[in-house]
Amino acid sequence: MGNMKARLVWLVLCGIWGSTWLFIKLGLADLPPFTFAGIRFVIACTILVSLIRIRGIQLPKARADWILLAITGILAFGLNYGLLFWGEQYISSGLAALLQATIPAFGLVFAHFHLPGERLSWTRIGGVILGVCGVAVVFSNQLAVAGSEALAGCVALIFSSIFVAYSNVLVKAYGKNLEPAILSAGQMFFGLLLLRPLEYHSKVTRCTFIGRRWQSSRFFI
Amino acid sequence: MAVIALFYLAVVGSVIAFLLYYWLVLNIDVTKSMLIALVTPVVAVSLGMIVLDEEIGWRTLIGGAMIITGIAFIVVCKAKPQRSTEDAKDFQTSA
Repeated sequence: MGNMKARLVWLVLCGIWGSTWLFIKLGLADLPPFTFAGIRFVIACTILVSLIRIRGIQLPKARADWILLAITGILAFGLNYGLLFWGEQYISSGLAALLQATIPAFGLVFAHFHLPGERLSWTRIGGVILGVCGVAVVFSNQLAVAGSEALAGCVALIFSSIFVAYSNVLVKAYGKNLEPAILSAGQMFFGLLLLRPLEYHSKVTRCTFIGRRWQSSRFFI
Repeated sequence: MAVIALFYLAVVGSVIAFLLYYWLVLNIDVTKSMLIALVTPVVAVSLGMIVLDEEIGWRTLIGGAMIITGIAFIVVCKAKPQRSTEDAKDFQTSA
């Protein structure tokens, strides 16, 4: 990270996303996860759209930009969160955190093929492996996988990491001309198109989202 | 309490966070921006320990040290990737 502003933003984001789980814990005392996340992103999307209008930011005109927003939105918000909500019913919060920590590992692989400036190197591979192992150590008392449902939950979490990593790399590779506000709002909009039916489905089937497990389990949202 | 939580998560945890995140993605290596995923669990656990007044265990200390070392490894040690002229120009202006 070459400049101070980028480093500062990086640290601020660690603080923000590290603090969200406390508020998720508070919110989940009153609302189920899908509803809670759904309302959260509807509010956020509305604010972002208002911001875009107030600041007079031009909406993308190229079809390719809309396709990028749709694909990355479905990957990063729809599939990512959908799989997380589903998978975290069956595994511990620590294991969920560990599996989410594989995002940069998958990101390295995808970036290698899509971004000429971010090829795999031993330094990057070693650093990410050390980091993922560090997360494993932090949650080493919660990593047991018991039963096929827990295994399915792990697979869901791994795929959610793959999808969000791929989405990030696609944004970097093909979204350079898009404003962060357009990217955020567009992705949330397309992601919500997928999340809302899932939320409805979860209500209909009365999936039991066990708050105890869920409450402390979502770190990167 | 749910209203306060929703407000924080929508405004700070979503609007501000994703605006900052995509700015970051577009301005530094995406592989470095994704390293945030390694740090947030430790921040979350540490915050919980502060809020819940619990002691920080050896797992968090050792694991946190490993994560920071891993990230430092990536950030400090400069790789020498193949780079096209255009990408090299982008890197100079952004990273």
